[in-house]
Amino acid sequence: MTGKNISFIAHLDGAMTRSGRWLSWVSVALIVYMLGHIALEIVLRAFFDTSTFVLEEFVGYALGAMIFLALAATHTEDRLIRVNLLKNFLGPRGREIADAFANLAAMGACLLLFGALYNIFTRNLRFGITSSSFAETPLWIPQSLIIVGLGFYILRLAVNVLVHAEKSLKA
Amino acid sequence: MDPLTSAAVVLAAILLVLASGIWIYVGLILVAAGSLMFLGDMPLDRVMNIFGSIILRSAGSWELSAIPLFIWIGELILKTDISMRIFRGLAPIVGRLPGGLIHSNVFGCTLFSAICGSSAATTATVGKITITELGHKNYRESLVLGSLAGSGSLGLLIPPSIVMIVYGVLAEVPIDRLFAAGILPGIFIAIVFSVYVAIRCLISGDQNAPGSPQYRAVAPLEEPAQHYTLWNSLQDLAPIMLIVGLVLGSIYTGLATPSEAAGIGMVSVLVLTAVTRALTWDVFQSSLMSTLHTSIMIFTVVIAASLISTALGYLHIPIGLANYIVGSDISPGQFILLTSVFFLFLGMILDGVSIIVMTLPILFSIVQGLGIDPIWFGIYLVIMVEIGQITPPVGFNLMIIHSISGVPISRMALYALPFCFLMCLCVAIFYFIPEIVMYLPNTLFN
Repeated sequence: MTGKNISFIAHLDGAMTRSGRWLSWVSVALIVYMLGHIALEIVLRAFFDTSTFVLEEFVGYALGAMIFLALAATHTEDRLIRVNLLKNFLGPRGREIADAFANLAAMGACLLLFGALYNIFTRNLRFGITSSSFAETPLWIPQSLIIVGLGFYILRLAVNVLVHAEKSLKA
Repeated sequence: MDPLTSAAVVLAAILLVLASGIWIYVGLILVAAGSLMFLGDMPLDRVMNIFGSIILRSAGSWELSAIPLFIWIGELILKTDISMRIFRGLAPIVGRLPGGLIHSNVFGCTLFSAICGSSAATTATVGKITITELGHKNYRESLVLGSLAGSGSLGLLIPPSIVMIVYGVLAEVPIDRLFAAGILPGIFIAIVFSVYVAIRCLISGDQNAPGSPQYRAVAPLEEPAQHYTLWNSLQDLAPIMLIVGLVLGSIYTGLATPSEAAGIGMVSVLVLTAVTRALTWDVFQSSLMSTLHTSIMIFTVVIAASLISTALGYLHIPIGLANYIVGSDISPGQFILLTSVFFLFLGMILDGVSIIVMTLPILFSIVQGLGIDPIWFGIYLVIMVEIGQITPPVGFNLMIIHSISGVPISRMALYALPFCFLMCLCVAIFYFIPEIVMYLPNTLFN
């Protein structure tokens, strides 16, 4: 029974890591898009005396989506900043428990943000609110990418809690 | 609760969550939410309403879009041979100075800093060449690694600078003016480092000081460039100088915003690496992935900082503190001295962006209250953050050099110590002669 549970959590962990990697490739594509749009804008302005008129707006959307879609993969790569002073004083089991609680705290913080963003997203979707720019972009479209990214990150954190809890039992 | 007590409670809460080992952005979000709910008596749904709009505004900030592009420039150069070009180009020029090729650390980092906005990328890019090359030539380890650690941190001060973009966005200070303000102090510090290297080599009669038999015996870069002339140097340095000119020139001529200048720089580096056949699909992919992770690391703390900044604002903490400090007759000099000690302490345990985002919401109102110029303070803060990059245990430049050279961080910290002192000395000079910082922004923009 325990063996099956362990393999299930490990399986889940692997699946989340792979999915996170795919989402991070979407973020990478968004960086390339940002560069492309900026380059296009400069060419249009310099040589054709015109503009896309939506540079700041669309690059802003891309940036927001890029950040949240890649959160889970960046977390998995252990690239988010933390101070590990306390962990250095703990044993292997203590470290796993501390990591489980850290992930739990991150889940709490992200659920708060998710709730905040989801309220705005559903309001924009329900009332069909668009940007005030020339493009009149329905705001729920870029916000949906943020919601997907943050929602996935919360799942990633939940799996991390399980992984660390399991490791603490084994330690 | 009065603002001073509220500030103390919030600061204690931040330090507590940091010490607990959770991620900095998580700690800041939790403290921001807790402050509004428990100190500001706000219901959860109101806190969420506030947070939602702040997150969308800061995550979609056009100004911040420059950050991934400037990081990408650094990553691409790090993964190609452009750093070798910089070293090859500088070697015949700096080889004539007392201290010889050690100056290639200082001027290599200075030059690279003008393309890339990251201290880590600057240190790693220049270090991966100079540590090996100078090691082969028996240069003194302490000076090679110490000068690299100190000069690598110039990546934060010499524009374009990621930390300056973060400061500019949070403090609502024009980023182009900040960039202009960083140029002269950056060059000044580089010259101070170089003079120090030369003096130490002259005093100690270093074996690689020019003119000594050993130096002639191991001339710079024998294999690829035994007869390297000034013309060869210029050929190597010209494309890099052109990129520097394009990036900074486009900003100061008003042709491009910092984000657009980052785009121009990125396209230039892509063209340069493609023309020199250094750009492969693998390099392109891996540079993008590294860029992504580094960018997210920065953005998480920046977004969380905007939340805590808003929370502090709702609690009237910054203005209350500013009134208190201004009313207590502390002079700007005393304030700078106190904050310097505080930043030196924070620099030991935190990275640069975290220091700025955690302290600025509280300190900035005091800075304004004391009549300190926000541009000058930005440059001062960046230099203090630079010092934090080379102080243990959390000194990022030390870690990077340790990973390249294998020298223990404790020894690295000792090597970097003189450069820390020199930077502190420069801060004092900039305080007494603020024109060094303010001359360019005042001249270019007024």
